[in-house]
Amino acid sequence: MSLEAFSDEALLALVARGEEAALQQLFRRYAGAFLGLARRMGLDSASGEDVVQEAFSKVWQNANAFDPRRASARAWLLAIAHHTAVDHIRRLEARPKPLEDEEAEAFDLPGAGLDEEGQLNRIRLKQALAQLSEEEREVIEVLFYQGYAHQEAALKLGLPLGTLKTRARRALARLKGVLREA
Amino acid sequence: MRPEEVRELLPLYALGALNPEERARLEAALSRYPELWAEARALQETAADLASLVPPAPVPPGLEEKVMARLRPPRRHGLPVWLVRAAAVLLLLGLGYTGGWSALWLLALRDPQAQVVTLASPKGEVVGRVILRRDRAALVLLNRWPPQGQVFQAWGLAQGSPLPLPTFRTPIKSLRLPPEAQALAVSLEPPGGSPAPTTLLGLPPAP
Repeated sequence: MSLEAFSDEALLALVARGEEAALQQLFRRYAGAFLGLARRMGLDSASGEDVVQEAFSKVWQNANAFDPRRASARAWLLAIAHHTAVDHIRRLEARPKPLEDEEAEAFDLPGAGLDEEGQLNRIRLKQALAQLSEEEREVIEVLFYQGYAHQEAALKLGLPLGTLKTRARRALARLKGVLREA
Repeated sequence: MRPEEVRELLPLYALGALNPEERARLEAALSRYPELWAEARALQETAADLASLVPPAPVPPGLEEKVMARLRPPRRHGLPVWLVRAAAVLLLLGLGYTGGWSALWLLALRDPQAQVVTLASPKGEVVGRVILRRDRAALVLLNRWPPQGQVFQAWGLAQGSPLPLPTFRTPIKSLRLPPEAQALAVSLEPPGGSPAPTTLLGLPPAP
């Protein structure tokens, strides 16, 4: 039976049972997204590949901890990739410079999966971020895309920790509204 | 961690802004507060949008093979933990059983044609393993005892209905698989066994 038609949730349940073919299917669905995210966070190609390998090892080892009541499979998988990239960046002696949106276009080469949908997604994200205040956008950029831990981010932005937390919550709430209505 | 502390940290968790220790503490605490799961889920979905709306990058050739190879560490780097435990059980039972019986099963593992199959419950929980020799002798190793008033029963999986095989009460059982059976499963049954499985306990992976 082909696994292509299986949902991400079903594939994770099979991965939890040790089905390598299910993990392979998830790789085919998500490896490009994991690499794109690592690249957006400023990691070079070699580091991006390390992140992908480490992230899929974690998926393999921790699939039995996935609980669909607490997250969708997509959110769970992307969180693993993001946490892995963040931890990788924090281990580096010098922080990489994350790509800005315009620079991200430079590696959006034509080819399967990287065509109109990628272009539309980028526009959608840009428009959603544009709805945030400058301060909220900065918090998303520093925490999510640059991978700063909250204490470091508060210092970098010159904000009390409580203000950073409030802005992070407000930015996510506003993004949720914008992205869901788009 | 109290629920209000967990709730306060949820946005930072979703944005990946906690360090690994804080993240692990929050995940452990969150599992105790189901009332916060809907909020955690919503925040995680938005963070997933931030990740997934970034254009994907081309996947270099060979990366898939590297990822898949990492799942299977070379066997020469030591025996898996479960096998060491199984070997210990075999040796222990061997002392009071027959001297050669347990050693023969251990030697069977050196045969590359011997199969080791994981048995999992219908919910995906691993419940044991089966070592299947090329002469169709099988050793079932479970990680539990049967509930009171029930016994384990083995089943040969073939085309059509499962073939009833012996019942047993201990987590370890050797038996012979009929020629028509392609795999082995285990169920829980009333004493004496049943002609068809009552409660499936351990199934092999799908072919």
